[in-house]
Amino acid sequence: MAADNTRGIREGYLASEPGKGFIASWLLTTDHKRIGILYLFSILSFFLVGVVFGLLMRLELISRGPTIMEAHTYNAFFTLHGVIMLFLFIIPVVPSIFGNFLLPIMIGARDVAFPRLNLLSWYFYMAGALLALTTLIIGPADTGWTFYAPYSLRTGSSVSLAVFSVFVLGISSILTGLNFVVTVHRLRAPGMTWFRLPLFVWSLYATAWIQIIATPILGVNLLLVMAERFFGIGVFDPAKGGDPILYQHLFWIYSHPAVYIMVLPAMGAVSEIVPVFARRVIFGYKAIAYSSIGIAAVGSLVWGHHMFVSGFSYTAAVYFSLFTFFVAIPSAIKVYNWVGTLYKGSIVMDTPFYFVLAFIFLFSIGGLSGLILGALSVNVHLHDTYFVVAHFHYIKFGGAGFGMLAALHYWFPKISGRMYNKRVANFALVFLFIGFNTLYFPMFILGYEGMPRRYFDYLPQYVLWQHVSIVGSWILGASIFTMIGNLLVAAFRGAAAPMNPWGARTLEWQVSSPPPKENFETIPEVTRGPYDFREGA
Amino acid sequence: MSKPHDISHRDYTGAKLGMWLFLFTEFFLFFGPVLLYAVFRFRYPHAFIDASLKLDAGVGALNTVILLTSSLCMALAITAMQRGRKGLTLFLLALTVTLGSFFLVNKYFEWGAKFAHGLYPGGEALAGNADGTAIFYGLYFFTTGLHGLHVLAGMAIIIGAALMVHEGRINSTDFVKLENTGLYWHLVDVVWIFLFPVFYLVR
Amino acid sequence: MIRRHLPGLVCLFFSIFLLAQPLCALETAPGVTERTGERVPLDALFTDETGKSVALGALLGKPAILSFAYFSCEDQCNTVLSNLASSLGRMSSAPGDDFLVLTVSFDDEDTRGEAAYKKKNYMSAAGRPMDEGAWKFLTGDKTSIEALTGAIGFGFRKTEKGYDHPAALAVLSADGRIIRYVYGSSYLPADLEMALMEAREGRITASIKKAARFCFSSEPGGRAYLVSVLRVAGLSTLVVVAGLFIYLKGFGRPGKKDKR
Repeated sequence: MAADNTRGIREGYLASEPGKGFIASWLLTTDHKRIGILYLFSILSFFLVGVVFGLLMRLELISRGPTIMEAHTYNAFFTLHGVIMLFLFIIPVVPSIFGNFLLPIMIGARDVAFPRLNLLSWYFYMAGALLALTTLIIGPADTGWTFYAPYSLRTGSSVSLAVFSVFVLGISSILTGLNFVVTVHRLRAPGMTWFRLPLFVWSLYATAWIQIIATPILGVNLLLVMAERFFGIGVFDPAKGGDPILYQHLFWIYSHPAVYIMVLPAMGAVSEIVPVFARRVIFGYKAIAYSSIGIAAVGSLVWGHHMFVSGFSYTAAVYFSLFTFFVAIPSAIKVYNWVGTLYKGSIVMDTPFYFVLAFIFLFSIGGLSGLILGALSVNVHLHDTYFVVAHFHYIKFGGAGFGMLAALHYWFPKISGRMYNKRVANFALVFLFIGFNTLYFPMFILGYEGMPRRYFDYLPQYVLWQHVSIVGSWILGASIFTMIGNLLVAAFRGAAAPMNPWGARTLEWQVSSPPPKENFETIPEVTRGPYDFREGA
Repeated sequence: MSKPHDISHRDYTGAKLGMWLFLFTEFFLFFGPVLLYAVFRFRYPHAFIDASLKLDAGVGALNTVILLTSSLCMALAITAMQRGRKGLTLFLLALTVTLGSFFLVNKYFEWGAKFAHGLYPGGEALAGNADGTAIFYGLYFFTTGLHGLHVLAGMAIIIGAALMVHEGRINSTDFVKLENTGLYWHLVDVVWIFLFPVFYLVR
Repeated sequence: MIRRHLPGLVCLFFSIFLLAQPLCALETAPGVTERTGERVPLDALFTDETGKSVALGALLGKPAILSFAYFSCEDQCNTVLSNLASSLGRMSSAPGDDFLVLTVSFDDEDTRGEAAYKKKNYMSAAGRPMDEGAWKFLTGDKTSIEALTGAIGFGFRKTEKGYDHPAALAVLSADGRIIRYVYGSSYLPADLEMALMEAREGRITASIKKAARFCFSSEPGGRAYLVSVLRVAGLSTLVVVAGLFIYLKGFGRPGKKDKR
């Protein structure tokens, strides 16, 4: 098997299917790997659209007053930037691309439990995504990605359509989650016990549960907003005795866990990469596995801290504040375990590992600034400033985004069967890291100085840091495009990748690159843990 | 070596587990409005009781009986399929769908009566009302409407399943699709059994 | 048949969303209907805290921050006013010199005595020396109040215990045009500075929409019961999920007992 692997071009699942046209072989496929590729291309395209929106928003701030767009346009841009980056990119990115591609292989299955449902959920994703982009053409929503009532009830812009698109994306998310849970329960290979599951699978499993539990609440909340707009049922409308605060409550019942939907899978990918490059069994396997579940559980209870300043009683605020700190514990456990794994490991420095280091660094900054925001009194002062913007970009981009990039560079040879140019990738990473910090770190300072978020203009005193931040955005944009360009070139022209370039022990590296059509000749019998690096194990 | 989706088709437990998870998300969908109902009931206890008294509990009870009977038919249809009695299965499925449509017709007249009195969101009887009555009717129409859509969807699924029985794609050895259809129909039933007391009876 | 018409049906379905505009008119409801760019009634007469009757136009002449309150309010108006005071204290431009602050009571039964009392409190809460004329507390009769709140689009409603009303400020230019709204009950000094800068330049911009915070006078206990309802709901969800997980683990062992 290893012999024909060295050429490995257009083989495996990528080979054309006899009797099926090229387009049909992709758009009608039920192969989890091909669906993963569909997601890869669609999600990365939307990501680039979101990046362009972000760059334009930054560019608007290059001089004071309206520069390249008016306030209304700016409002529409940040709504779309938010919707695209959250609902089209960060929430689906790791589970849909890497989860779909790898989860069945990692547990020793031929496919997910419901392959056709899997394809259906890609179609739901695309429908939702295209609807969201349609709002751009017909007059974008200007409510922010949260669609807070009562503005979302009144504003004449295309909120109904935007809300509906998020609803459709929610269905896609539920179906993917459901599929993963059943797959993990039913299709593990013989000998693949719960505690032999790779940690990436654990994190996908926990994420899938949050998706199943939390998304319907968001769904019905959005349905209520639509019913409110079409028929005026009154529950969020103070004129009829309703209460817009309830919208926020229901919204955060979903969206707080959703924050963990965003970071958990990325953390899982990192937990996968760290032991491979430390050549050492991961430190505290069970702690990481349980902390995934812990994050999912605690995350479901902390929605209230987003509403410190909107009329909660003091006791409730303290209670929620406390829970916010609790969330930090499982996250911290993971960081300690990664560092603990590296300690005394025989570390192999290679591209995916550099990404992981960047991830750990940025995510820690994000987490620490989250603690500052979680502390009650400070929050009131920093609420709605750039500090918040910087915080969630460190968490979501620095955390989830970098985790995703690490995963992309780690599994790329497996997915495409080819190896990318590591030197270009490393350079792009260095510049991405520099650009990222130049872009977002000044926002902490601006926020501390009181710069309000979501604003297309600023006071003279903020000029310096705004400009630093804009320069950062250019470095960041250039390095992202370089990085993705490098991978695209490699996907078509790269040298063939060996079966197991990183020396990993999990099942996906024990099949050829790219994997054969049904993953395994015969379903393997698992006899050891996923991070057993002993010789001959 | 079999095709991947063939494996899953024969994995009955997996298919049912998936269906249960799906039903779980459906429960959560109805959980939202019921939660709102609880919150507003605390806030406007009197208005809610008054409005609830105006609903016709008789019609509601009739609908409950209809849905329960249809659920029974559905369960019998599955048993009939297991025993290989195709004709009986089709008859029972038809009965289930018919009862489902009775439910909707009933609902139509019930809603119609409310509309005639202007008791609907934006209706004249509720215009400018902020004491909670409008909210009650808003939630009533939203929740029962959402449930009605589920009844419709359920009927469509049953018709689809009946076609598959007719074609023999569901048969006495491979009937998990019919079982899942049944589960969905029972969900529709159970949600109604929950909504009925919430809106019509709790006073 | 259906397949042939499918694209058409799909288009029809989505066009519903395109055509849909909010049906509910919320003009008189508690809430803000933005009227950016329009002019406030400059001839509306109000009484200031010294008892002097003044037209709104005579007071302006500088950009102004306009806030609404009623003086017997026990809840949100106080939050709004004390947060406004603290923001004024932290701003770099000086109230009185660079801009004015107007707080207008929308309760026509409020008196100038109450206004003077509030003024004294909040002026000292700002923690910086301000001219007497920098922050005016105005009362007026029903006609002038309705003229002004109507022009701003500030909707409020009387209840048994007080008023339901939104928490928002309006920023006016020197000639009385509405520049934009600042929502919420706490204000970043920089946010106010920027709105005033726009007012100075006469540049009308879009307000940043965020969650409106309402004051509901009808709820003396706050939303404590709401939190407990949600907490119970959240906890019971968790219990159900935990139970389900344990139950599902029984489903888990592959290759055992079930027929493949």
